Amino acid sequence: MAEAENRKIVEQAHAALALGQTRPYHDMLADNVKWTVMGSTAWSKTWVGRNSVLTDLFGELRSQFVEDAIHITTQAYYADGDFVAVEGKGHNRTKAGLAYENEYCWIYELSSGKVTEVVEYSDTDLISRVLGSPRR
Amino acid sequence: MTTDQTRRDVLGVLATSALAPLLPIAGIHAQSTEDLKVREAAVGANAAIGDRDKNKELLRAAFEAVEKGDAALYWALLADDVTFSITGTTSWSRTFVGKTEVRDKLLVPLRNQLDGANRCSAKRFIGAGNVVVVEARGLNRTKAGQAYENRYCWVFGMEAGRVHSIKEYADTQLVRKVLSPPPI
Repeated sequence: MAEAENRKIVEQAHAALALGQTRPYHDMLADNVKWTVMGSTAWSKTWVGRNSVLTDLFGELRSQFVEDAIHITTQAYYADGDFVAVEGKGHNRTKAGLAYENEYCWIYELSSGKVTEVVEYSDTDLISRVLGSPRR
Repeated sequence: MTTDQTRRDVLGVLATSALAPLLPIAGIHAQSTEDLKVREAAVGANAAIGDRDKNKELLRAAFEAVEKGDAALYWALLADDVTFSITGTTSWSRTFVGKTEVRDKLLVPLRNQLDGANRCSAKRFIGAGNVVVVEARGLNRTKAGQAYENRYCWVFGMEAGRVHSIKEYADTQLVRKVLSPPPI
C-alpha cells in the first residue's frame, strides 16, 4: 500500500539525515519537486525543482551555519494516502554564533515513491531574527 | 463508543454550565446545536469507517463551521484536559493547559483583538492513528484594521472522538507583527 511505503521512504530519509547522511533525503525528492517555506520571511517562497531546492535552499542554509550541514531530528510521522506529515527539530548554530533550533512540521506529498511537494511550517519569527537572507 | 453515546457526549459538553458562558463569546449561534446534532450523527452513523476517518470527519465538520464563524462543534470536541501548545517565542507562544485556560487565556483574548469571530479555512486533513494534522489559513482582520491571515498547521491528538492535545505551527513573525500581547 502506497501509504505505508510513503511513510517508510520519508522516515528512512529522515533517519539517515539525522545521522548526517543526506543522500536518501535528496534522492526521495522528485526532479520537479516544489518546496514552500510558509510565511513572509526572506526564506519564505516556493522553490521549484530538485536542483533549486538542493542548491538555493539547502545550500544557502548550510552556508549560514558553523558546520556545513543541517542537523534535524524528528519526533513523529503521520502518513495518510499520498501525504506524510513529519514533526521535527533543528539543532544548528549560525556562523554569527546564534542557536538556530527551529521546530518544524513538514507536509510531504508523494507520487510514485517520490516527494513532489513539500510545505514547511516553522517558527518564522526565529528565521527572521536569526538567519541572514539567502543570496538568491 | 456508539453513535448515540458520541452524540450525547458532545451535546452534554455543550450544555455544561462551565462551557455555557463561552458560547456567546465564541460566536456560537442557537442553530449550531442543531447543525452539530446532524453532523455528529452523520459521522457516527457510518460504522464502516475507522477511528482515523471519524476523527478527520469530526474535525472537518468543526472547521467548516469555524470558517463561517461558528465555533460550537470545535469547542464541543475539546476535552476538558486539552493542552494547546503554540510554537515559537512570541507572547502567545506557550502551552495552555485545560479547556478553561484555552478559553480564558488564548481564545477569548485573541477574539478580543479580532474584528469578528475567529475564522479560518482548513484545506487539508492528514490522519494517522489518533492524530489529525490540519492545514489552514486564517481569514481575520484585527480591530486595528490589519489583515491577520495566518497560516496554520495544527497537530490534533484525539482519543474517543475528543481532542486532547493541539500543537500549533503558525507564522510567528506575523503574530509578532500584527497581534498585541495577550493580557497576563
